[in-house]
Amino acid sequence: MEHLDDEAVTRAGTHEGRAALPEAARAHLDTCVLCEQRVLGTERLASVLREEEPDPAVPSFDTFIAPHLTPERAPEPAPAPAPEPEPVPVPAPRVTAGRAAHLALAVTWRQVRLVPPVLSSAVVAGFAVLALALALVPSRPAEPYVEAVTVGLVTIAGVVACDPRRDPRREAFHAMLVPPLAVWFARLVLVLGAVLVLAVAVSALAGAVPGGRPFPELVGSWLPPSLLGAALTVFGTVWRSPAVGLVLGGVSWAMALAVFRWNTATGVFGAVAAPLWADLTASVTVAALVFAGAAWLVTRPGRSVG
Amino acid sequence: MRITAREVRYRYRGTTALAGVDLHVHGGVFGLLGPNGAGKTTLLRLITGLLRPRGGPLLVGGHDMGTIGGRRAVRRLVGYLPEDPGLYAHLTVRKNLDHAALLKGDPHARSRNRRAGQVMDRLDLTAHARTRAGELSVGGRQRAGLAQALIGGPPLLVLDEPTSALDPVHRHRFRELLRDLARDTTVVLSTHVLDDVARVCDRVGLLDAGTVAFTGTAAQLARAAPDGQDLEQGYAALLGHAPAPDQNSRPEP
Repeated sequence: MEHLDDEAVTRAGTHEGRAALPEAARAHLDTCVLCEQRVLGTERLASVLREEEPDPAVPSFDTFIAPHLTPERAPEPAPAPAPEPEPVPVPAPRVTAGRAAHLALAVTWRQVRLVPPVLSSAVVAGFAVLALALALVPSRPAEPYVEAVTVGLVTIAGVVACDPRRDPRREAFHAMLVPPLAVWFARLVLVLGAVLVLAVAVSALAGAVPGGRPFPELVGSWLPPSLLGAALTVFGTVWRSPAVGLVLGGVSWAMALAVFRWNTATGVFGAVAAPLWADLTASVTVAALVFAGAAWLVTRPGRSVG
Repeated sequence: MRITAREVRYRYRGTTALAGVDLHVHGGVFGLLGPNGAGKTTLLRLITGLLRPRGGPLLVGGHDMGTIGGRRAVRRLVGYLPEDPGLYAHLTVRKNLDHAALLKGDPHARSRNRRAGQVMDRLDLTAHARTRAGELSVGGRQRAGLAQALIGGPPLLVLDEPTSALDPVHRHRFRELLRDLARDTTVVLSTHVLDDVARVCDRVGLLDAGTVAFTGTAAQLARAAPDGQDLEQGYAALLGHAPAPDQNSRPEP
């Protein structure tokens, strides 16, 4: 092994001692007279220096530095006064079950007056014309017409029900007993429910016409695309704007046509789209999820488009 | 009703709106001041239960606003006028107030009608009862919004800049109304109109960058000014802005 370098000699000859050296260096020191002499010299030098200049007592940070910093420190904030809450919470007016039911009816009835009359006229007129056509021309298949009218009216109704001008999500309404979600839900059930009930009535009429398709099959043809279309339209309107709602509703309708009428839904696309727009269970499930997403958006005070 | 906030925080996506608010409102009219973006509207939304506070506690009338039950209870006790009064433009003033009374839990048409009449009288709106809200002036809409907040006689009134569009006559009446209401209602008033603060508020809180920079009376706020009297300069001094020189008091050359 080579001789110890200066740093190792200094370590061995001062406070740290020979034990601080690595094992190989210690073994070398035991056999090398030259290095031993160098370490002994360093030990003697250190000893003399210690006698002349004892080790300085280094004061702690707290005793030496901190007192000089104290004047520069920000004053300690005064302890905040203990909160003094209301001794007993102020009682909020209670709503009994009877009053809640009365209120729910009143709120729902109010939606009848808040929805523009032109929507009611359009819905009634649309189904009346359809019923008339079915009665006058019974030989033609009713299915495409019932589906087209229902999906179209449901899309329009979804947009109108969430129209920003009648938006129940305005900030002031979020601080009221009846939350915007309840008002929105009441309006949606009223408007979409009316359209679907009329569609069922027209389907019953079409089913009763001699040679017509059976009523359950007829309902099964328009109900899945109507539910999905309504859900997507409502979600788009609540999320962004009526225009977005109409686009999503239109896309849904096009998908329904691709699946049922044009038979263009093939391959992987068809495998996904066909059950979604044709199967009642799948469409109800997806529509429920989309409606739930729209409902969540309605509960957000900052998302009002009104 | 008392409002107690301690270390209340709130963040919007990536933006800290309130960075630890300590506040105590005992009752009367409490003025909330601060520059734009200081967090006033966020604090009002927390007090009214529109938002859920982080940190805390925030107690309103003894109800913990960190809980769903607390926020639900306060919604039955509060009248709130946000910056946008939220009126339906196609409905008349009376129908808007009737709708507000319904949403505040009154299912009886006759009772709602009576309440609407009372608040319209109080706010000089009777002549506009059949006017559509969309046809009202900005000040008229603000009064109709205030009527909407007042309907049902809530024990806590939270008003976000309610006088910004009022003419001097209606502003004067509004102040009288607030003083009258303050006898049995706690009013939290966010405003930039320091004159309103000086004349109406029992206590004032100054928000700056999401924290409370000052609480006290309007007179105490004025004492922060170099001359110890000017509310506007006291406000500026507390916010760390050099008060603007008063043009009228400049000495003649």
